Amino acid sequence: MWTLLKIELFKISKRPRTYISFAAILAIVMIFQFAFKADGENYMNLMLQGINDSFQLDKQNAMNGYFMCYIILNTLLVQIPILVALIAGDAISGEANMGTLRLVLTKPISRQELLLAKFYASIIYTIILLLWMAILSLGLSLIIFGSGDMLIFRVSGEVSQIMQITSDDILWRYIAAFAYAALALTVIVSVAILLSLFAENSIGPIITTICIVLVFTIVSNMNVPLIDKHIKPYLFTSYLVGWKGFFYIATTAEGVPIRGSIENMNSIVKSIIILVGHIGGLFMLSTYLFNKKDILS
Amino acid sequence: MQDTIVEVRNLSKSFKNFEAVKNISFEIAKGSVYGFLGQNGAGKSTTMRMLLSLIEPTNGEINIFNKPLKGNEKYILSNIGAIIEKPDTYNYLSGYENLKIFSKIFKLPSTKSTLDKLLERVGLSGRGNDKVKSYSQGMKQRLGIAIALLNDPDFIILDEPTNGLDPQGIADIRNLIIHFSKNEGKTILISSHLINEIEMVADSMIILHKGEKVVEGKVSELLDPARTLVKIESNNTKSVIQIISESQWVQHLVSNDSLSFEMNKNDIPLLIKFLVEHEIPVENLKSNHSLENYFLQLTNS
Amino acid sequence: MKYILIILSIFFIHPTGKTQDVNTLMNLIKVKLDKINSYEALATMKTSIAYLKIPIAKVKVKFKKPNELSIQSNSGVTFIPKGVNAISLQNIFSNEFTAIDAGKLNTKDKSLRIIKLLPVSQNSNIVLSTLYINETDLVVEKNSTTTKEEGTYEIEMKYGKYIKYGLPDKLTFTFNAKDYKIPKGLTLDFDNSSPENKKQPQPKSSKGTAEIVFEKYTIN
Repeated sequence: MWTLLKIELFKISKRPRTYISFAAILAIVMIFQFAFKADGENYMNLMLQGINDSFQLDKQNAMNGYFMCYIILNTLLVQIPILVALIAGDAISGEANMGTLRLVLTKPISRQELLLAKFYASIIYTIILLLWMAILSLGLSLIIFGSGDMLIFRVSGEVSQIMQITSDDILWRYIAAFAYAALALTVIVSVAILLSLFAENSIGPIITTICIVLVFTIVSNMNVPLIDKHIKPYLFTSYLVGWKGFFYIATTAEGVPIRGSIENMNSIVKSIIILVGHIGGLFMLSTYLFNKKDILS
Repeated sequence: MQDTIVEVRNLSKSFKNFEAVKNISFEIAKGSVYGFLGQNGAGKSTTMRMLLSLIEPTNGEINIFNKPLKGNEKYILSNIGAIIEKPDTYNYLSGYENLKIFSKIFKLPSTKSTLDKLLERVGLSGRGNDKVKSYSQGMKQRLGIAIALLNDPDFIILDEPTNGLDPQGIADIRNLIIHFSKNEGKTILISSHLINEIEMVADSMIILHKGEKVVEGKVSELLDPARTLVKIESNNTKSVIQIISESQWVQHLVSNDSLSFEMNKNDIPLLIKFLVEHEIPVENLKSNHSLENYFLQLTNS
Repeated sequence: MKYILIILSIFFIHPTGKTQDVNTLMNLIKVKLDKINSYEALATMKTSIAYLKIPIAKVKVKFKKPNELSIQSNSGVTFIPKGVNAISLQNIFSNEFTAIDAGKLNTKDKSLRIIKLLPVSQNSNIVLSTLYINETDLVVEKNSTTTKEEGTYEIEMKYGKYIKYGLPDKLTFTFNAKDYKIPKGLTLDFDNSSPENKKQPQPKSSKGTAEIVFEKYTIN
């Protein structure tokens, strides 16, 4: 298994498309950082509409590296499934297209082993992609914008809120958030690999995965009561933003945030269970279908 | 009795509404070269894929190395080398890297010297560092063969190995197959849609047509020279038939209205001599084996 | 508005003798406060308003005569209510005013003199201040001020160690703040089904408080 995994990682490392994602993240993060360095105050003013009249606030201080990372994640974690799909959607279909699938499968390895190796390799790729993102969006932002307390702007139900997390209470939340994001993106990996079983070129599964994620995300964010109640809980994309749960800090009855706390840990645990369920279900389905599949490519 | 490497019984495969292989059975003896002959869509590749567990049979039994394929895939595949259809490899990797990957799968040493020897064996010396996408079709075929030979398999499956090759490439592959069979004692299953290709290398063969077995047997028997078909073209067929009917050659005549004979290949000079002695004007004389003729008819139908 | 109040106060509240008392009292307080040229104080500030979930901030309160007061954050991001510099009582004396006695407020343990201050200048931001004064210690315990720009705010002060300087140990500043609403679609939030937030409709405008607890004054 370890050998197969190393081979898969080697193959991924040798494909130019692998590096497109890293370059894309670098570009997006740097554009964000440049834009916010140049004109971050406008964004702050937009978020602080109404607050400016009642409070004075050192916006420069609020526009720090931790805040930047949150904004970048907020945007990028919607796009990153596309980059993950680019690799995972190619896992089986790419080999079918190249004609190497039949070559590999005439070697003494089971299909389950091959699928598992490809699955693990895609997850490792995703994790490396996230680490790259963390280095850029958190590490580089902290260097450029400095450290400080972090403001979280949030709309919960009808209520708009600003939560403040002190700088010494943030890092562990990011570590947890990135770990959660890795889990959430593993669902995308599972979807893309499942779809890649049915195609003989990688464009189909990649585009289909992206479409599923986009459509589900749009539906997840519709804010229509009927959808909220009856559809949203069943879409895995509703749980992709669960990483934010680590930043929703619990407060005392007087509204003072409690250091090291999470407002609703149960909902995060529930999301994790749902995501793990999706991964397990999709992987088992993929294994079943792959074992039954006639290799005609 | 020779040992049997492959034993196939009542093998069938259906895809939705299409029956690709219909109830075929055959055996491949150890150390022999076995030919699959058939036009495109005859079921050759499907059968080969079933032998490699790429396709699950709808019905039937496959035993390889005296073990049922189902449940023993790993053991059986570790002793088989195969090229199915095109010799596709990872074209974004170099020849070395491709060999290295498959060496690792077989847990074989993948030092440069081992891989160099392998590349030399298939005539790819000095090209190991080049990306496969820069290879010619012939070079890709050689690399495919190198990969198939990595594990020093006892049984080699080659699906249309000469497809897309130039005459020199075709000759090289043919020599390689003969070498593996005669000098290294390997068992080889080869498919082709050209009868002469099979005739030149195979000991036994099977002709498949639309998924069905048409004929199976030893090449020496199936392509027996005693059953050569000779066709003569003349501008006066009727009078020639008249002359023939009064000679000993009448027993070889296949029909009464065309100048077609079934005879031993060695007797063709005697027939020509007879025609010359009787001043029969001959415009053309063609000879081929009756099985080849039959096969051509199948192909044209 | 200001004039109506003046007229009202003339008619209803003040015998002239008492006005003298009020001015004397105000003067005594002013003299007490004038002793301080500047001070710096370390304090904690707890800002409470419905939409803000922020930690108690460590701040430095700096004052310099005549009425320069600033609150600086020691670390992190601090939401400082606008108009909070009104907590300096010297602020009251920076403008000329007419003091009007408005009687007494008796609580169970003490009695406080109520004085209404009306600025003389028409340009003053302050419309009316109501002070609740502890006459024994010569300190203002509560100040309710209506301004033109920041609405009405209230300051309640509790005194302790620094009572002789007229500086409070604890101060609660109550102010009006506008409603806060994040533009829709900007945040893409995770619905963690927090029951607390689901049932609360956002109030149109909110009252906020800033509770400042002074730990240590350095007085010059």
